Amino acid sequence: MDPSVLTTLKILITGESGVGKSSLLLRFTDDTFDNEQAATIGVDFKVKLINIDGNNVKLAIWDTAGQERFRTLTPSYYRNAQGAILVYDVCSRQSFSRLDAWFDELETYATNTNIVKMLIGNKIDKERREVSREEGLKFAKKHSMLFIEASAKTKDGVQMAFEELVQKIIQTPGLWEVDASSQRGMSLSDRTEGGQPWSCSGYCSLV
Amino acid sequence: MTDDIPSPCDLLVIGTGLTESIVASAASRIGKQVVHVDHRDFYGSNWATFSFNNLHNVLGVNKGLTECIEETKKETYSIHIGLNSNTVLNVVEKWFISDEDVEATIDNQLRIEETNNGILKQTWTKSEVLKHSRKFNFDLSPKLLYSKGEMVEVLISSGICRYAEFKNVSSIYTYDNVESGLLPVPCSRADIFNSKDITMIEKRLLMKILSMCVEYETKPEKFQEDEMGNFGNFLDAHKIQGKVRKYLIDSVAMAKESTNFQDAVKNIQKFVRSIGRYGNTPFLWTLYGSGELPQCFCRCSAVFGGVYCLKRSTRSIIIGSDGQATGIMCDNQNLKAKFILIEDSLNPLATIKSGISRAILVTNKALTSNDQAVLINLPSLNGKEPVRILELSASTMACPQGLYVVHLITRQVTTAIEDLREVIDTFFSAVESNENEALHKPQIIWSLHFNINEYESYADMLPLNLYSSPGPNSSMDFDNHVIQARNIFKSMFPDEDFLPRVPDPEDVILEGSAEEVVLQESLENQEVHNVHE
Repeated sequence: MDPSVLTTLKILITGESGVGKSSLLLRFTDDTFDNEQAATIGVDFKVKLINIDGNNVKLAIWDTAGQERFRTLTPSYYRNAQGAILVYDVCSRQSFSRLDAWFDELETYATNTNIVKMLIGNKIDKERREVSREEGLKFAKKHSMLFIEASAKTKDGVQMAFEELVQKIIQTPGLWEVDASSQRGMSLSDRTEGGQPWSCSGYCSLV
Repeated sequence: MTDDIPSPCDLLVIGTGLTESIVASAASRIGKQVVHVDHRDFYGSNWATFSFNNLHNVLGVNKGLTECIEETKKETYSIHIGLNSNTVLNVVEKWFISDEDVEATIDNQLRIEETNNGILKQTWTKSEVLKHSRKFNFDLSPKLLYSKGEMVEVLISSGICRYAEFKNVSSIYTYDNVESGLLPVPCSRADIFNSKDITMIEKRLLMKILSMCVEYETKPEKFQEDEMGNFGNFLDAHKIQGKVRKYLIDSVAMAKESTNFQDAVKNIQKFVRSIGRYGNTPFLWTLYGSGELPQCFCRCSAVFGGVYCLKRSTRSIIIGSDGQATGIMCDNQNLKAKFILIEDSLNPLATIKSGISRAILVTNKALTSNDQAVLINLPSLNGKEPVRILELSASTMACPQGLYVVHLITRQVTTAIEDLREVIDTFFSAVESNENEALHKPQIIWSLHFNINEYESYADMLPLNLYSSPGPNSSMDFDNHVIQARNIFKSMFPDEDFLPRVPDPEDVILEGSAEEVVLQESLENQEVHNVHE
């Protein structure tokens, strides 16, 4: 890893279909917004380097890949995440009432017990709001989550949401330090082959 | 919500087991519209990994499903999908510890007692174990990966390896019936060199056989015709006896005396080539259990547009007047598809071929001093089938600290309880047994026995566009299933690449968006596909 990077964090985004999870992600990572954005295809996770309190932190932000459409996220999606963002649409009561189920799923499958959770009420640019700021705040308080209202369309609150989340993660001891991650397993890739393959010449020299 | 499932689609996959998930991801990857359904409420079908609570739910659910009879339109008929087929059967769960709740125990605190000889002994109660339900990951079908096997290669070449993490199996044992004990199998060159179990001459012999087998294709002149009948004959011809013979048969070749020579050599080659890639033994264990792997492929499929629906009862396959499958009835929706893939255990045209006998134990102590993942290959004793034991510690995420999850796997002869009784009695003790014995053997805290059916289906009995995919078998690794998944894919889409590498999100950092590249790619594929039609 680049020595100037303090750590890499896995952040995931969940919530009902159509609340703007991918839009928030793309607004934050690429500063783009597509009004007509179709259901998510091809977005696995996005990587972004940010600077928090003088430290460079690499974020791998995971999208649901549309698997939430029929409420069928894989448990493995939640593994080893340090941060989780629950999103609802302030103009959709239904997306807010489904938060309990998404929260339960997060609690069930998150492997870091001290994972930092954030609630985002998205689409505050739109009229006909159905969920008040107070309701969102109440839900977040009840579940000890960070809370922010945002708009991926107007950029309102997006940058701040991610920054606050990362700041909180960095302040949480035992959540992201190298020590904690060394307990985990190894990743496979052609770049990480370790040890000497047991070539034939190895045998032959002994015979 | 039901209306959202795209129909028609290119490929409809029923069941989220490993083979189905690999095919689904490969098809999505080249831009085909995939719909992947499962009547269960979890991923992985008979490959799944469960927590304590989920395990209980699932074993209950398995019994409750009923079949529904569907009316079908004229000129078509339908085959009912046997959702109530009990693939997992003879389930027996047993607790060996008391039910009582210990007053004032906080979550992670265990009662620690000092035993006579000063060893710290942790005592668990049932409620304490269940409090940690989520820390347990019980595999229905635990399997290992050869570090240079098909599964590892496809995970790496496709990039899907990013969704999982692994631990190297720390050591391999076989059973020495002369000395009645576990015998460590030396894997690396250094292991063989340092082994105190075999003599210098035996070491040389072992090295010679291994290198001969590795070079089998390039230096065939080293082999005599008459040696190449079964593996036993070959070892006889080279005067391989004693422990070296045990190593080679039980652990390196994963064979029997009667195994065909060529098959044994293939296994030896895979074993030797896999050593040293990630560690001292050739095998990897998937962190959080083998059930992670189907999920990895499903995730890849979803990233490329695959639509996932669990808890969808898939009642029947509809066959058109031309004898081809046209789609399925899924809840009350008729989902049309060009190709259908169904897992064997759901396929009404598949028959039970054989079975696997399984036991899962939770124990309080490791069988050996090793602390990660240990593989024990027990040879066939008293005419019984060989038994494989996998012991997993907390570091593999199989259980909480201080406990071990032990998997026993063998081919089914009678029932899981009968098939595995002797082995379990040899290595483990129930808590009730007398104290001296109990201090040496790991004690069983909880056990679960079950059998899993293995199915087979004959392609010539199926419509040409309906494929049936194999569920878990008793083999130790996944490679055969990867090969079969590739064959199914190639048969559906003969001109397409099987799981080409996905663009690495790390490589597109701070550049244009990754999904544009991907979308363009899949659009191109779509066009190619349309031209073919």
